Amino acid sequence: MYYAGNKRHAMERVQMILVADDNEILRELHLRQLAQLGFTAESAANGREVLECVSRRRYDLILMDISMPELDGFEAARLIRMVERLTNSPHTPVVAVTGVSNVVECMDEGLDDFVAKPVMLDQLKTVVNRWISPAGTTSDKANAIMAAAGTVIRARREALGLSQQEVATKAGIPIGLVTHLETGASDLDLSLLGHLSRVLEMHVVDLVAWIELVAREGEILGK
Amino acid sequence: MINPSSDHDKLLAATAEILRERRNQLGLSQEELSTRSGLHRTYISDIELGKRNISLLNLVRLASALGFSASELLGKAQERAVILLAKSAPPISMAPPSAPVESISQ
Repeated sequence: MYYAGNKRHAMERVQMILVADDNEILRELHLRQLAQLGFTAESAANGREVLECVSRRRYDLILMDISMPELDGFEAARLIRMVERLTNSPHTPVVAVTGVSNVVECMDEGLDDFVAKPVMLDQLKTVVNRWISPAGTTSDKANAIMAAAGTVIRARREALGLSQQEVATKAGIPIGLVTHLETGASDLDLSLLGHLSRVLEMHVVDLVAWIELVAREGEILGK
Repeated sequence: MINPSSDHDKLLAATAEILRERRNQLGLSQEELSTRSGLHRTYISDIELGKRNISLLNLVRLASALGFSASELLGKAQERAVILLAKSAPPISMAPPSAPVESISQ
């Protein structure tokens, strides 16, 4: 199923959303809601179909029901993150469609955000715009921060004459994660920041200050 | 030797304290901070309780919603963490080292 919103300018790159829900009526509803909001979307009926879709093309956001047959939303999100790490692909925001009681579990399982069932148009608009919205909003800022983190980590590693493998070994993390971070494709948490700052011989506060500075420079130069 | 994981736990706990204090200082509820930062209230509550590791992006979002930069917020948290570490360190004994026992053989 394919729905195309018509609010965006023809010259803009079309932002594509993948909707995953095993309930055909809800899947159809979400597709129509997204079209109303001006987004173009495709759909999948379960986690396995989600993986097939993401192997074919890149999506700007995945709106995924958690309870699905064959492969549920948690498992699909885990596999998406694993493939992203292995292939150094950009981070695709995955938004869970679930009950409020599952919010913390969703965050722990690598999902980026959630929208509560039943999905109302206003709530969907808020959540989707948080991740993919016109230039200059949160999603761009998030990308700028992750790209800056990658730049700072790589520059500091090279200044110390360390290989990615050495950083990975000293920080106790997989080399794939170092590569992933340096491409600006992944967010990093406070714990990982702590490990990296030790290996990169920087104070964690200075590391974050550098990341913010580089992100700001990027925003200024990008304008 | 500083234990890195203990160090990290203290930084996380200190970050939670600073976030909660700053939110209260601004007279914001968790719900209002949630709206400002775009993060869910439950997530903010868990962060403030020090129950969750916080990502850099979310740190930037929360700091920005509270009028800080992320590094400013972390800097304040780092100062607080030092105090927390000092409080949790075992007390230093002021007793003089015991004199070596000399065997007296007669």
